[in-house]
Amino acid sequence: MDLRFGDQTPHSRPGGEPISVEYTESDGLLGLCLKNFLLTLVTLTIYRFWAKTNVRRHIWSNIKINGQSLEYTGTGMELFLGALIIFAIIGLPFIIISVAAQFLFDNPEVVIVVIQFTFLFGFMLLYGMAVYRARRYRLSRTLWRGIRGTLTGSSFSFSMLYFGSMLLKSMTLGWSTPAMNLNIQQRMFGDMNFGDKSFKFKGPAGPLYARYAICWILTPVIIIAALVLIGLLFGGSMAAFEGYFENLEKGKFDGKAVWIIVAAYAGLFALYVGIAILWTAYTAREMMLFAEYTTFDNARFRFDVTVLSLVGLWLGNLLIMILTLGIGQPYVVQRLMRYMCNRLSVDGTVDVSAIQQSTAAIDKRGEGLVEAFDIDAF
Amino acid sequence: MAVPHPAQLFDGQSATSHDVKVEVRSDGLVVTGPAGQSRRWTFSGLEAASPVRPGETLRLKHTSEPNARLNLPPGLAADQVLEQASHVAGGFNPGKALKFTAIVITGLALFFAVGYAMLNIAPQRIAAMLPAEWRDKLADHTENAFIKDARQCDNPAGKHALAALAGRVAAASSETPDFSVRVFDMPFVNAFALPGGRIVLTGRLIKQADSPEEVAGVIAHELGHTAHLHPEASLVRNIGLQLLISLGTGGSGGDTLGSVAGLLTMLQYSRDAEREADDYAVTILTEGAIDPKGLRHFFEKLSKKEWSIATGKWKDLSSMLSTHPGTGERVEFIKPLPPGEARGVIPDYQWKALKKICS
Repeated sequence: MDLRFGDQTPHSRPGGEPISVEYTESDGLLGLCLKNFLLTLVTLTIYRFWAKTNVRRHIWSNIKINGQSLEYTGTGMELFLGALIIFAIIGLPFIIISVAAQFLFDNPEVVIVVIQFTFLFGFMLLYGMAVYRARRYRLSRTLWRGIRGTLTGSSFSFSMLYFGSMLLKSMTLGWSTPAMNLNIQQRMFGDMNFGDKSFKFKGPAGPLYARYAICWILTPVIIIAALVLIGLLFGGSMAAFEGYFENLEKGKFDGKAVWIIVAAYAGLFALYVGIAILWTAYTAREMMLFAEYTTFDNARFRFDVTVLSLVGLWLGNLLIMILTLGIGQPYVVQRLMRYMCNRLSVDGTVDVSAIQQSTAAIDKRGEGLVEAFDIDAF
Repeated sequence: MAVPHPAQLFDGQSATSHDVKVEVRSDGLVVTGPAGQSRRWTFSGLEAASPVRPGETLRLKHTSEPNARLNLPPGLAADQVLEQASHVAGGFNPGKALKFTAIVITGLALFFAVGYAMLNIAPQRIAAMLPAEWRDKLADHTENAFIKDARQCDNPAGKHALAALAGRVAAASSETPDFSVRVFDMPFVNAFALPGGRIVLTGRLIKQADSPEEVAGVIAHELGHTAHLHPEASLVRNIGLQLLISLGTGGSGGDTLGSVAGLLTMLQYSRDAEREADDYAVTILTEGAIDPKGLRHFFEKLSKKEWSIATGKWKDLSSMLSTHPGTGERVEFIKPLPPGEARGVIPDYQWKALKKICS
């Protein structure tokens, strides 16, 4: 049971031990799905915070590092209060201002558009903060061997970095994306600790550019080719639309025209999936490289991501969400976590016994912004 | 006599694993080690750190030491703990379930009580408190959404006649609110009261009206909505409803407010509101010696769908307004004046002029 035998592995120094990560499925997830769905229904969606917590508790306990499971210590109440506070700070003023605009201005449509743009700008400005704080909350509620994780940087400066990188990405037509993503990852992982020991992240963005260039060039090629194809296939069928809407008004229903519309939408969906699959090739490379650049104590990470497996994960999750109308969402989280655990390996050793508990302050509430912005899947 | 069992302790200070011995006593656990330390973990403060699964390590924590974790391997000690401190295993807990049900029921009751107050009691009061300037702005927006590009019927003689007719209704009581009446060239039979006392009649209504009493009755009915602040209250109610929805879902929800559909639903009133307006109309018509049977006649006409529903761009508006709750019983409620008590509304030449207001 005690694991102080790591000295035999070649890379280790005294006290270090190798690290293995695995995901062991356990019963109860289906029951959890149904319970969460029913209670969310009867509580007019308020239960969703507790539902999320139940799922995390279950899934965290299935993740085993060197045989010890992770533990999730967050509570539904913390998430509920976090969301309530953000609603009071952002949601309520937005509603009140929108309502007041009806009474106070001559052109409420214009004023509402201005308000919405202001809030959209605020949303983009604070997006990074939402991501960072949610990550910080989750880390502080994740325990392994009684020790919790932390994120020690400023969420505001991260938010500015994130916003700045978004601006730069769009100004360079995407070409700064690999470098910017690397920057963001560097900040996030540089700030991350387990107990009093910090993760380190360092590496160049250069190796990402070959894949990025291929994806960047192929995207418009695929879109144009697909549109031309759709045009060729359906261009001749446009005659079917002659008088279609007039007929609909009169209660007559033209089945052929409907099929053409359905086919066109199916074509566009296939295009979307195709583009997403293409970019998965880049994402896979990025994930692998980012893992390689990450170190903790004497250990280095390896993430065995393949394009095919990532596409399978993504499509499978998409299908689960669609077919179960979202009720099966815990399975999506499980698939994601299992994928990561199965494909993540750690080279080298960690001197686990030397890690002390973190003294960083702990958030009292969590994830309000992420909830408000509707960012995250789990 | 308690037997010590081997277990693993993480003290919450460091990630070091400590081998300890655990004794299961009648009131809790005694953890011995590391290095001669001893802890007493009472059953009442004991919790599972991870979901309890048979055949797996039992992971425990205790309220006295929130960060410390005790791992009991599957076996006798773990079984004893689960038996003596059954709350640790979780599962179905009647007390907790009862508490949860009570919270949910109280919450739902509170939600619906607040909702009911917000939708049925508060709007009227809040509407009464709106400054006149706000009410005007509101009236402008609603009017824009309603009238669209319909032409206002403004034949001078017709307008004069309409003013005389409206004056006759207003003179019936000293308590009638300020209001204006206009006719717009719309191809369906209907009338509505916009916020701020702006009453709108359709040209088709004037064309199909058989008597001045009928038009006066309609104006009196719409004036009833105005007097009871129904249009303003309805808007406040819509806002309240959106607030409730966004509170429930956590979304922003403020954007549908500016939409035309939102404004249209404003002028659909409940059965009670229509009854209030009818009461008001019958009262002032009787006081003013205008025969309410004109209003009754109008309601009978409204039930003719081919008159009250238009096609094309007026389709939505007309079909939305055509749903008048309980028309049948309302017709019954409106009784004509006894013979000889009613006086004429406007002279015949003015009635003829009014009929031509849209030409």
